[in-house]
Amino acid sequence: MDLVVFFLAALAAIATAVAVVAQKNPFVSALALLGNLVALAVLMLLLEAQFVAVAQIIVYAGAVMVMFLFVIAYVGPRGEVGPGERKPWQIWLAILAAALIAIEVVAVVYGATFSDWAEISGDYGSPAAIGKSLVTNYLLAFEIVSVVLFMGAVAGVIFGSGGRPLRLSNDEVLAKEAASAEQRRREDSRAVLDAARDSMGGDR
Amino acid sequence: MIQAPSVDWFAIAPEVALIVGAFTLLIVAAFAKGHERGLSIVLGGATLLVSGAFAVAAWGDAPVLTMADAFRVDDLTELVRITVALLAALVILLSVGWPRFREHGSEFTALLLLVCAGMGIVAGSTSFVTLFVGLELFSLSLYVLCAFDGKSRASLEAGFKYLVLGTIGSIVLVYGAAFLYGATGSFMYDDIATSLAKSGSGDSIVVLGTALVLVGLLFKVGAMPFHMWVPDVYQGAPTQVTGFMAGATKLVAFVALARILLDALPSQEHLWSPVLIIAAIVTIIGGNIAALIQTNVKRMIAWSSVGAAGYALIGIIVNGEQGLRGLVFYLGAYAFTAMGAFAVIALFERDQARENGHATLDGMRAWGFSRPFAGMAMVVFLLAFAGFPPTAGFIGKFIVSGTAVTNGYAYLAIIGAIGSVIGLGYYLRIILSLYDRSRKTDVGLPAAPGLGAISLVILLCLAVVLFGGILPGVLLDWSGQASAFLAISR
Repeated sequence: MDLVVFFLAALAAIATAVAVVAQKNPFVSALALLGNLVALAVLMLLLEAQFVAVAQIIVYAGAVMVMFLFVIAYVGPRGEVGPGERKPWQIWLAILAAALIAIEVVAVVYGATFSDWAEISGDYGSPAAIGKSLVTNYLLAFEIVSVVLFMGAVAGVIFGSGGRPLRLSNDEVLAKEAASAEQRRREDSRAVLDAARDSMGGDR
Repeated sequence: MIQAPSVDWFAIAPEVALIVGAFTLLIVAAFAKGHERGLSIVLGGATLLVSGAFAVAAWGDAPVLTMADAFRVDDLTELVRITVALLAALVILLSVGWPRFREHGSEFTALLLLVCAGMGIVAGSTSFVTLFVGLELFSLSLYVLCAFDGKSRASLEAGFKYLVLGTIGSIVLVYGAAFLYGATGSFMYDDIATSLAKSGSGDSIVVLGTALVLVGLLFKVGAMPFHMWVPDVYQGAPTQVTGFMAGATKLVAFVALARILLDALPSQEHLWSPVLIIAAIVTIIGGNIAALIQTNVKRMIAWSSVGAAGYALIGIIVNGEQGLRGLVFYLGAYAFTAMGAFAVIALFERDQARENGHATLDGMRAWGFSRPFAGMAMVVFLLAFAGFPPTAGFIGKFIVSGTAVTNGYAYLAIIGAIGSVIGLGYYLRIILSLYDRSRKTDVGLPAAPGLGAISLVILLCLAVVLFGGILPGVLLDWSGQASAFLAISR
C-alpha cells in the first residue's frame, strides 16, 4: 500500500515538475507547482513527517501560491521571453547532462547498502519535536533564517520602489494630484462634448 | 522543560553587531530623510568598526564552539571577519559619490552589513545547516546588491543571472549534504568525519554526496567548469560590489570548501583530490585564455579572477600547513588587489559618467595620463595579479607554487606559471591602453564625485598590496595562525 501511494505521488511530483517548466502559460505553471507541492506533501507524510507535510500545504500551497497567482494576475500572462539566442546543441547538451546526473543518482541509490537503520521515536516529526530541535540543535540556523526573511523584505522595498520617482515631498505630491485632477476634468469635458456631438449625429 | 543551548555571546558578537547595525540603520534612516548618505556612512562604518573590533579582540583566543556546536570561532573565522569588514568599509567609501547611494544608501549599506554577517557565519560553520543558512544570507543579499543599479539593464541582468545560477549551486550543495546525511546520519562535519572513518568510504552514497557538495562549492568559488556566471555578474554589477565579490566571496567560499573537505571529508581525499587537480588546471588555463580575448576591462578582470580561483585550489590540493597558509595569504592579498583594481575602474566610470561609462580597453586609452595616481596604482594592481615582485600577489603565488613543488605537485606549479605568462598578455594590454602616447592629452580631468574617497580606497589597497609584497612576514604569520585550524583538525 505504502509503495503504491509512493509511486503515485512520485509520478505526480515528476509530472507536475515537468509541467511547471514546460508550460507556456504562467497560470498553468503555477497550478502545476501547486500540484507538485501537494505531491511532495504526500511523500513527506509517507516519511512520518506530518508537521512538515501540513506546513507545506498551508504555507506553500496556501499562502505562497496565492501570492504567486496574485503576481501573475497583476503582471498579466505576458512577459514570457522567447528562446532568445539559444542554440539547439545547447539544449541537447543540457538534456544529456541532466540525463547523466539522473542515471548516476539512480544507480548510486539503487546500489547503495543502507545498513544503519535509525529507529524513529514516537513523537518524531511532531510539531513539538520540530519546535524543540529549532530552539536547541538548530538555534543558530533558526535565528539566521529570520534575518534572511527580513533581508528579503528589504530587497522587495528596493525593487518595488524602482520605477517611480523616489520620496516626493508633500508639496510635490499635492501638485501632482492637482495636475492629474485637472487632466481628468479636461478628459471628462471632452467626453461630454464627444457624446453631445454623437447624439447630434454630426459627421466624424 | 527544554534546555536551550548555551550561547557564547562574545564569540558571536561580530555577527550580532552587524545584524543589529543593519536593523538600526534602516529604522533610523526611515525617520531621517535627506540624510540618507551621511547616516549610511556613519552608522555603516561604525557597525563595521564595532564588528571588526570584536573580532580583533578575540584574535588568538582558543577556539570556541557555541550554539549547540553549530558555530566555531577560531582564528580562521576571525581573519575572515576582519578581512570582510575591512573590504565592506572600502565598499562604503567607494559608494560615496554614487547617485544610487544618495537615494538608497541605507538599504545598500544594510544589505552590505548582512552580507558580512552571512560571511562570518559561513566561515565559522561546523555543520551543513549553518553553512547553508549563512550562504543563503550572504548570497541573497549579494544578488540584490548586484542588481542595485536599477537604471542599468546590465546590473539587473547580473543580479538575475546570479540569482538563478547561484540558486542552482546552492541546490546542488544541499542535495549533496542530504546524501551525506543519509550515509552518516549527521550534518555536523565532525560527526560525518567520525562516521566515515568508522564505516570506510566505499559507500556509493558517500561518493555521490561528496561529488555534489564539491560541485556546489566549486560553483560558489567560481572555478571552471562552474564559472559561467562570473563574467556576466562581475561585469554588470556595480563596480564596488564587483570588487567586494572578487575578494570576499572567494575567500569565504574557499574557507567553507577547506573546512568541509578537511574537517568532514578527509577520508575521501582520494576522491576529491583528483577532481580539484583537474578543476585547478582547467581553471588556471581556461580563465586566463578567456581573459585574453576580452575588450571590456571589468570582464577581463572577472575572467582573470576565475583563473585566480585555480591558484587557490592548489593550496587545498597540497593540503599541508604550508599549502593552507599560502591559500589564506593568497586569497587575502588577492581580495585587496581586486578591490583596488575595481576602485580604479570605478573612478574611471565616474569620470566617464556623461558618456557611456563602460571601461573598455579603447575607452581607457591614455586615461592614465589624466589620472596619474590611479593609473600608476592600476599598474601595480595588475602586476600583483600577474604575480610580480614586490607585490603581495608575488608572495602568494610563490608560496602556493613552492609548496606544490615540494609536495610532489610540480606540474601544478608549471601550469600556474603558464597561466601567469598568459595573464601577462592581457594585463599588459590594459597598461598599454592606459598609457597610449598617441592619444595623450594635457587636459586634466575635473574632480569626479567622490574622488577623495575613491583615492583613499586606492591608497589603502596599494598600501596592503605593497606591504604584503615587501614585508610579508606579519601577514604570513597571521595567515599561518589562522590556517593552522584547518591543518590541526586533520
